[in-house]
Amino acid sequence: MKELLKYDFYYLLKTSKFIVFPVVLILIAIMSPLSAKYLNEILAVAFEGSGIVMEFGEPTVFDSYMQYFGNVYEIYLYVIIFVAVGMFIGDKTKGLLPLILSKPINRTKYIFSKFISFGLLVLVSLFIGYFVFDYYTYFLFDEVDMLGMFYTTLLYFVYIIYIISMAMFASTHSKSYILAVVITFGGMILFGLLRVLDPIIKVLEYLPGSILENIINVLTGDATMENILYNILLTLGISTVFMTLSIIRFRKQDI
Amino acid sequence: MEVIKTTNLTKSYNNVEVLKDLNLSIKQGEVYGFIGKNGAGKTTTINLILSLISKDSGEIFINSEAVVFTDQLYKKKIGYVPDVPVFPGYMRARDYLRYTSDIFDLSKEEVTKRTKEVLEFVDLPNSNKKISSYSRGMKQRLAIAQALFHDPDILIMDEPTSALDPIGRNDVMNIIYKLKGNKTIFYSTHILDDVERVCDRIGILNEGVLIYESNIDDILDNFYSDKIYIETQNEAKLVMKKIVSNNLIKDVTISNNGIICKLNGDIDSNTLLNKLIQLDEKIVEYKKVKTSLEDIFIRLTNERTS
Repeated sequence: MKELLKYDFYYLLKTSKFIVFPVVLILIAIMSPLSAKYLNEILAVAFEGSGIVMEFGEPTVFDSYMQYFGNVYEIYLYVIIFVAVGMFIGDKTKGLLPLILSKPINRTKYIFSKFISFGLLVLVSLFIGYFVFDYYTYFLFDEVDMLGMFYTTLLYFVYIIYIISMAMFASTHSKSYILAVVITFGGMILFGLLRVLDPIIKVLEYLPGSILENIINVLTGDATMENILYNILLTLGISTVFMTLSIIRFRKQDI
Repeated sequence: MEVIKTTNLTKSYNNVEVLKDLNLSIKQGEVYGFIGKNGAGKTTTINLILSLISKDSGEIFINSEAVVFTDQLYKKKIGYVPDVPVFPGYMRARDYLRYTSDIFDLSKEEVTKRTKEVLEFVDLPNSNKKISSYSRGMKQRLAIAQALFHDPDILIMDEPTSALDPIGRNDVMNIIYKLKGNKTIFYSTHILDDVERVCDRIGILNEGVLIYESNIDDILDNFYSDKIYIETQNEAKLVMKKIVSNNLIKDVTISNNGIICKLNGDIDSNTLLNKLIQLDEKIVEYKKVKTSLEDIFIRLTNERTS
C-alpha cells in the first residue's frame, strides 16, 4: 500500500495537482469574503445614473460564509470530479494498467491508494482554504466563527468522500473518461432528485445533498446534532457502497 | 522442472473462443518462442498467465503452483515486457525503476546497484531524460529493464520487437540473446527470424489452438526442404529452359543468379547433378535449400486452416 501511495502522490506532485488544488481554494478563500464585502458597492457604482434604484443591506460575515461555500460547492466540486475520474481511468485509457498490474499489486489496495491519496490532497487543500478564508473574513468583517468553519469544512469533506467514491464507481464501470464523468454527475443529480421524496421516505432527507443545508445550519446555529449525524452516516454509508462496488468490479475486471 | 504450465486453458470474448484447451509446458532455463499470426491468441495467453484477464476454464501453474486470479504474489517471480510499453511520461527511467523497487521491497543499496546494472544492461545509461521524450526503442529497453529489475526467474515478452525499427529490433534481440541461459523466457512473436535466432523450443498457435510444438532444430530437420538451388556459369533462364525440357524438375523459380526447383518424381539430387554435368553445365553452386521457420509456419497454419 505504501508503495502505491508513493506512486499516486508522485503523480499528483508531477502533474501539478499538488499546487493547483490548494491554489484554487486559496483564490476562492480570498475572493469570497472580498466579493461578499464589496459586491454591493460594486453593483451600486455600476448602476449609478441608470435610473435603477437598488438597495442593499449591510454585508455580514454570513454573506462571506455563503459565498465561500457556494463557490466551493460548485466550482471546486467540478474540479474534483474531473480530476478524480481522470486519476483512476487515466491509467486504464492511457494503457498504463497492464504494466502496473503485471507486478504483485493487490487490486483492492490499488483502488484504496487512489482514493486515499486524492482524498488527502483535497482535505489538506480544504484546510489551507479554511485558514486563508478565516484570515480574510476576519480582516474584512472583524469577526469569524473559526470553530463553526472548522466543523463545516469537515462536513464538506464528508461530501467530497461521497463524490470521490462515486467517481471511482463510475471509473471502474465505464471505459471512457467522458462516460465516467457523465455517470458521476448523473449520480449526483439522481441522489439530489431523490430528496423530493423525503416527505414520504423520511430517511431521504439525510441524503448527501443535504450537507450544504447542514453547513448553513451549523454556521447560523440552527443545526441539530441528530440531523448532522444521520446526514454524515448516510453519506458515508453510500460512499462505502460505491467503494465496495468499485472494488468488486475492479477485482474481477479484465484489463 | 516446468516453470510455466497451462492445462486446457480456455478463454472466450463475446461467445467467440479465442483460446481453446491450451496445454503449454515451459521448462526452466529455456527460451520458448510462442508463435502465431496476429489474433491467434498469444497476448490473451500472456494476459491470462499474468492474471490481467480471467480464464473461462483450465489451469495455470507457475513453478508448479496453481495461479489464483486474485492472488498476486506469484508475480514476484515474473518480469513482463509488453509489445508497446506505456510509462508515465512525467517520470524518468530511474523514477520508474524506483517505483518498481518499492513494489518488490528492495533495500536502498540494492536499488542503487540494480538501477545502475539494469540500465547499463539495456544500454540506457542516460536516464535523466523524461520518459515522454524516449524513442520507441528506448521505451522497449526500459520495459526490459523494469522487467529485470527484481531479478525474476521468468521473463514474459509479448512481441517486444513488433513495433520497432530494424536497429531497435536488433538492440532488443541482442538483450534477449544475452539473457539466454540465465532466465526462462516466454517469448511471443510473429517475427520468425527472431525466433530462429534465440529460441530453444517453439509452439505454434493458430486460432487459439496449439498446433505444433517442438525443439527448433528438430523442426528444421523434420520439415526438411525438397528444394534445390542450382547456379551454373550459364544464365539462369537458359539453365531453367534446358532442365525443364528434360523433365527433371518442377516448380522452378529464378533466384539471384540461379534457380530454385523441386525434383520431379523419382529423380534424386545426385541423378540431377549428373544430368547437369552431362548437359555441359559448369556448376557454380548446387545445394539443398534450407527450410525457413517461415515456410514451416505458413505450411502448418495453412494446413490447419484448409
